[in-house]
Amino acid sequence: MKEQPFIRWDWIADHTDEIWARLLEHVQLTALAVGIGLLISLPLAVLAYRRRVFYPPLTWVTGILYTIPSLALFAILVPYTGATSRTTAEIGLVSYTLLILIRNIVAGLDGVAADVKEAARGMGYSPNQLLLRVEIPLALPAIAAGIRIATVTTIGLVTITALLGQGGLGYFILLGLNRVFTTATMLGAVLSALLAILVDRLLILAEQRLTPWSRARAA
Amino acid sequence: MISLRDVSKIFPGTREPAVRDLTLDISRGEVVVLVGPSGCGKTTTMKMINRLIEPTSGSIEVDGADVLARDPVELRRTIGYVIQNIGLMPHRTVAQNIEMVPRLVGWDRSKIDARTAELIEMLDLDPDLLPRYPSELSGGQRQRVGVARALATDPPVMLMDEPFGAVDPIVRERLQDQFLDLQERIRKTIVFVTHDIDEAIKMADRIAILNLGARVEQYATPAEILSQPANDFVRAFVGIDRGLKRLALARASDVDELIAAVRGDRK
Repeated sequence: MKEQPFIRWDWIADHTDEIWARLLEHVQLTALAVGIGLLISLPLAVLAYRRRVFYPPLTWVTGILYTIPSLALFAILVPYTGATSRTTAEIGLVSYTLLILIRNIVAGLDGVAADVKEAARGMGYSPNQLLLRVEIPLALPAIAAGIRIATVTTIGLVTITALLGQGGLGYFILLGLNRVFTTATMLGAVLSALLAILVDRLLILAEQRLTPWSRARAA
Repeated sequence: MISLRDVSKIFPGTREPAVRDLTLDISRGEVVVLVGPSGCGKTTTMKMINRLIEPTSGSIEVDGADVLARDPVELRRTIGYVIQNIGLMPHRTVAQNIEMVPRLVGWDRSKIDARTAELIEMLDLDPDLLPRYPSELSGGQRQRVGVARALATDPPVMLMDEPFGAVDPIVRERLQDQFLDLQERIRKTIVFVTHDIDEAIKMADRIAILNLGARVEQYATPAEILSQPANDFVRAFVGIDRGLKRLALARASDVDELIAAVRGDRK
């Protein structure tokens, strides 16, 4: 076997198109997983917030989902949803976001000051107006924190779905493993880490844009 | 204007009623202060008027209409409400806070803007504060924004739960004076809850001194309560310095009554 340098920059230069395509796929898989996770978590979290009895079973079920090793979960799903399907990948990815999102949304809603809720009710906000105009906006920092954790976790997990023919940047990691080719492994690992850091920063900026009041303080 | 008939409230899981068979009439344009030791049911009583708390039994009328027959959300939009910590929406600007109820009831933009400008003037607030967030205001400013918000749709009835409780004594004094001036002009029917007898004496047209279970020990003008306490509970609650307190009663309309009361006391 021919001795290789640790990183072959020429190989990277030759594959820029594919790198971009995999990066885009990585972003898509992540966005879809967190988006669907949020769509499922939000109503469940609101239910748990309003009817407390639902909260323990919800954290119990999503907690179990969260602790299943990802490799095992994909292995369980393959006979039902296919070995190389995006559905298999997404079911796994979504289930890992649920616990984080539900817990953060409920904690955010719980953290809204009681006097603010009482004042809004006293002025004639209906329960839904209270939720949409007061409770959710004020819970945004906690919800955003949950989205950030879920997103960063998912960006890492997406690489594992390379085993299902998905995987975004995970494709390079797998390629490097199979061929003992460190350039590809390093490329996949470093880019997915950079992506996680970048997206985290962007989400912080988005949260700041959405909550202008949290920066306003008495002079 | 507001009448409570045999109103009781028993909270689930408790044996003693928080409010027991309370009957109370409040006339139009009057400031009635509910005062009593903590846990006496004064706040519960107030919150039953806008149905933040549902009475267990009895009837409540506001302006001749049965409160319990109305949709509670609609009802609350017609009654001004101010609480101790004001409860300004931290994510809304001062202007948006003041506009909350007008927007709920669907006023158009020009009417809302005109009313907001009027309220700012009325409460002596700086128009520059309108685009600010509550966290940028002083305690006194927040409190006045809270009152402006409660007055936004000009409701005939206002409920105020220790509205000056969260500010320091000097600011409180000024806010009380300002509020009395305002009330001279707007003549709202106000139910005001406090645990502070001095504040009650200063703000009230009539005071209801409540014992546990919202039992009315005396319901009378401040001057009467000071000069003729109905019983030992009232005497103890008002305190031994009631002679001095009477001197501090500086509202012009009470002067005649005061003089008569003082004379009555001496004979």
